[in-house]
Amino acid sequence: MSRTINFETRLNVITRHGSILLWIIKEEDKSKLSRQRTLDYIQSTDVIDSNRVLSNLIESGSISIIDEKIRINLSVKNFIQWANDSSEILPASRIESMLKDVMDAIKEAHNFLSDEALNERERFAHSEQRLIQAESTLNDLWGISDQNLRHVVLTSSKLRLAIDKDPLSFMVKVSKIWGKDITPMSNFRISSSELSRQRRELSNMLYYTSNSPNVNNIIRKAASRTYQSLEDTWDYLARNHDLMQTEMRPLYDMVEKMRGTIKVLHGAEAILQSINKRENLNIDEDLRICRTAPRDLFSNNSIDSFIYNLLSSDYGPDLSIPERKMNLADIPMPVDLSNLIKEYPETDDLLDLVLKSKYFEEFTLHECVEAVYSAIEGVEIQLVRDSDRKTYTKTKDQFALSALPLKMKVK
Amino acid sequence: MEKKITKQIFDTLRKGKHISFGDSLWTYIENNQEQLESLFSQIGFNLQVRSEKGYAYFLPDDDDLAKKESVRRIVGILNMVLLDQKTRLNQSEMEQFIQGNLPLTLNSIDLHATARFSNALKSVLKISDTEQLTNVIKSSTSYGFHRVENNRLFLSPASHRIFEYSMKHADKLLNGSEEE
Repeated sequence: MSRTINFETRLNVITRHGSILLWIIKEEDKSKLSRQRTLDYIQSTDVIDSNRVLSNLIESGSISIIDEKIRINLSVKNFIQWANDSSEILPASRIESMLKDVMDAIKEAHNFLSDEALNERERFAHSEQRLIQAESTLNDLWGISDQNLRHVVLTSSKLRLAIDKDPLSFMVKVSKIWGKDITPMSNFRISSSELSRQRRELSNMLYYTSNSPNVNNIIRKAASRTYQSLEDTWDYLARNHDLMQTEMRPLYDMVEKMRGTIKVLHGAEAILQSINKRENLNIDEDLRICRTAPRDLFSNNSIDSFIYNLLSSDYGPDLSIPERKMNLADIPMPVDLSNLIKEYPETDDLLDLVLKSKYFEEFTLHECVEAVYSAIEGVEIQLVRDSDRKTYTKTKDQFALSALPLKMKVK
Repeated sequence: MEKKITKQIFDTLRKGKHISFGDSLWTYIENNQEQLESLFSQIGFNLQVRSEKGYAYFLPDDDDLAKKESVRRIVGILNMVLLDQKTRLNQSEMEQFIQGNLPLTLNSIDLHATARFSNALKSVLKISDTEQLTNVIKSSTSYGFHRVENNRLFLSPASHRIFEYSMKHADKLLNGSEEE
């Protein structure tokens, strides 16, 4: 005759054989667990009669054997995992779906109250049942949120220790928790999100019902309880979400850095590979660096004095557009050397020619220099390196340029 | 703006050196970025300031480029040093090294001992032995990608310019092979 299975019996079995149940949970996750392997394990724990222990576990409903495989009861599994702090995290998507279930139940509770197809007793009964259902889901969410936080805290401690031993696994696990369990939860906290909007609407609805003279006292009390539970659970989820973020953010930042390091090393491999294959690294395009000995178009002194003069310029604030002193017609156009070149197809000192030309009287030294050093189509310009330096000035101009002359010839 | 410091910055940058966070001139560049950009552009110099990474340099035109061979050497060496250290440093040490907070003694850099580095160094970059390698590392501090103090190599923030270039190169290779 089989024994009576009650609360005491089950509790007793779980207390005595909790470690065996934990082993079964772990093995069940890895592969299908046979009866014989389970018996062997129980035997290895110095139990005298392993068959009897297995029978006790089966009789108490803690485990069952289906198709010759050991299966653990889901409630027992949750309890053992909770006791062992090894519960799995419930994904954010599931929490969001549970919150939606709560909203739907509250909406239905409200709709029943105004359903004219039902009599008053039925309306209240259905409405109360939905409110109880909403409250029950909120209670579950409270527990799940606790469990998730505990899981994140414990996992982060373990991961911190594993960072140097197994960086890849560290990155995968942290990214998974951050990307799937923490970040998506942020949505319900945004006050403009659909879920937040619905929650405000339903909170108002519940508050109204809890004070309404049109419903009986049972509904008022149920609405009041659900209202409080919704507010509290929402705040609790938000608080735990904050704590989870605080716990995981430093690890996530580490992962981001590690990703950066991996990319840098990947780049280094690519460069080495290209060097060994003598491939073009395209340095002149992608990594342009000034030459260490600058070309001598200008002497150091002229550059220095140019910078000093620019720095000494008295810049006024650009608050208003100053009135033009010249007529529009008198404003010099950009320097165009084409007419001058036609007139003088060859010269030993182009800048000197430009500065003395009547065409460019209104232009500054700076503008003339810019035009001379710019490329001119169909014209060959050469620096006369064996010449002495010349000083170029322009009347009314505060600058002077010391440079080698430029020879010009139309091709 | 202070003329003397501006002149000092100009002289440093136009010799192809990168100025990084930590250098005495960096704060001045950061505080006067717009004025310096405008000032230098008037004499045809394109100042690039990467504030988020902490370095600045002149981006030259075609006529003013540093010798390709010399740049290729330092690009190759710094990338090889990274790869060489991959097996010696743990994750956080590697990050510290890349961030410039962890130095390497020059004596510990023995790239010629590894075949794939040795081949690249000897036959392509024309660096025949460790002594020559050390000399190149020391002389190429003139670019400002790294510095050598008390025989120890520190990466400067400007080294990120090389590593960004390397990552871009890796992407190009990847895209090229995907297209094929």
